[in-house]
Amino acid sequence: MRAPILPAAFFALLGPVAVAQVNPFVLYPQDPERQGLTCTSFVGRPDWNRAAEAHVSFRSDVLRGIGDANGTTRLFGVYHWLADEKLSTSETYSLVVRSTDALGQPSTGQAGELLRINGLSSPPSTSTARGTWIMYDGFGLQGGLWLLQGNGLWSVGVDLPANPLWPATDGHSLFRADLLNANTGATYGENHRAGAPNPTWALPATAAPFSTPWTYVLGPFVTTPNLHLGGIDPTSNRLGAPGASFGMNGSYPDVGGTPRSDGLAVRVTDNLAPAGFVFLAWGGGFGTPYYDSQYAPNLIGFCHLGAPGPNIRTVGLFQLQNGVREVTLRAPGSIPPALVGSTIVFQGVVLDPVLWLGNWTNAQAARF
Amino acid sequence: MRDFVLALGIALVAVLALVLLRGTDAAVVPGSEPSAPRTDSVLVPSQAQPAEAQVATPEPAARAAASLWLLPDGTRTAMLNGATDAPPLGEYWGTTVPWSPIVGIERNDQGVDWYRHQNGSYSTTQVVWRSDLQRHMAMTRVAHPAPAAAPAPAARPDR
Repeated sequence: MRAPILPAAFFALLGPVAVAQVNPFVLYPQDPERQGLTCTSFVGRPDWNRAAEAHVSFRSDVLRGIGDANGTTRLFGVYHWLADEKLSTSETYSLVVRSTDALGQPSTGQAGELLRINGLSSPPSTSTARGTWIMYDGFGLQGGLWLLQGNGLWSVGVDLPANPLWPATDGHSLFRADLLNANTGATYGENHRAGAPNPTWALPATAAPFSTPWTYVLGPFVTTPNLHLGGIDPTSNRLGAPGASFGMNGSYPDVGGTPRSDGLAVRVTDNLAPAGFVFLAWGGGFGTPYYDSQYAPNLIGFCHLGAPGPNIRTVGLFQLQNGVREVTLRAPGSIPPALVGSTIVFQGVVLDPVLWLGNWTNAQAARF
Repeated sequence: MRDFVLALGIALVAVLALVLLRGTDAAVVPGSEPSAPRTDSVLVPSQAQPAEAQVATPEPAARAAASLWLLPDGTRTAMLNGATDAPPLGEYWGTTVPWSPIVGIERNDQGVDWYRHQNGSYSTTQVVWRSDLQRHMAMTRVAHPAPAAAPAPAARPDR
């Protein structure tokens, strides 16, 4: 069910629905729902074993329209991979959604909180070994978090209490993929070009926030389809497996030719319309959000393609298979170095052939 | 923009034609068939520990219905931890893990009851304070064991 265009009270009258799913939006080199995460560098916490919130923010210069509910944003829960050094002791945590500035830095303090949910814990276990839980913390399709446009940008976080036992014998941490410049000795991880900003943040309980050079398996549940760009670098083994790297490499591909000349791929995923048809387009930048009323109410969301001018080009039409489709847009070596410094934005519409309903994906920029 | 809108319209028509040409079978997504709830019988997990949610005291029909949790197979069971009106489990079970029946109830060391599933997954309902709504609401929570063990933590401080 795609809920955004009607108020929650309407859906309260409908009761259970036949097709009700959500999509976790995660910025990570591989798809945690469908791929083994060979790209993971480490499990880690935002501020070692001290109390801190781990936040992922989505900068508006690379990502827009995540959870787009026709101009507002709706989040339906939080997805994250919970690594536990000792499964037999349950880990406690909170969920926090915060407003951010234009660079993605979360607002601090209670005033910056758009949502806080305390008192969550991991499942029971008799195992004293390390392990991982894939956590689905759901608000419900009728109980989503509404973020008005006036709230601006936002970040999603997990608030971890201090745990002096981590990492030696116990404690909660998150799967992370380190940036190339993280200086952590990671063999696997992100594979962006030079100059990419840190995508995540630490909000220590008793110190100033700071950005962190890695991505997390952490993100919101949305009902909009997900679009991710990926970089293709055949000279790198940062992914730990063949394929495109759909985290930071997609937004920051290296096409400079000295020596990298990354290719570009797009991946669309949608658990709501697993056999949906994807109509993909690109533009020379982000534009003013545009609502195409001629297809209302059968088209949900805003078009973010546009600038400069009406420079939108179609890429093609393809069909999802089991909720996912990955398409190579440009092979490695085929993007001219002359594009360094330019930006191309991709966005699509997923058409559900069962409900006959279209939904814009998020838009993502490749900043060469 | 006009070109794009025109192209989108053409695509809509093309898709409609394709769906019609492929017949009605093509429009049915595997696994998306309406799962009409069967008789609302409360499951009694085989290894259930004593839990408040299993109390079978008579209560008004509406309240009883609100305390039953819709499962992905169309059956219903009692919500845990005092929750009512929790989202259906199917919304958060995910699409990549096949449905697995409930085989018991276990309580973690924080006092939270969880359903244990045959495949090792856990699920629960939990009442939480929603700071955005300024009221309590029920959440649906699922934990699937990851297919592979987590990698070793970084051997040095992260900053």
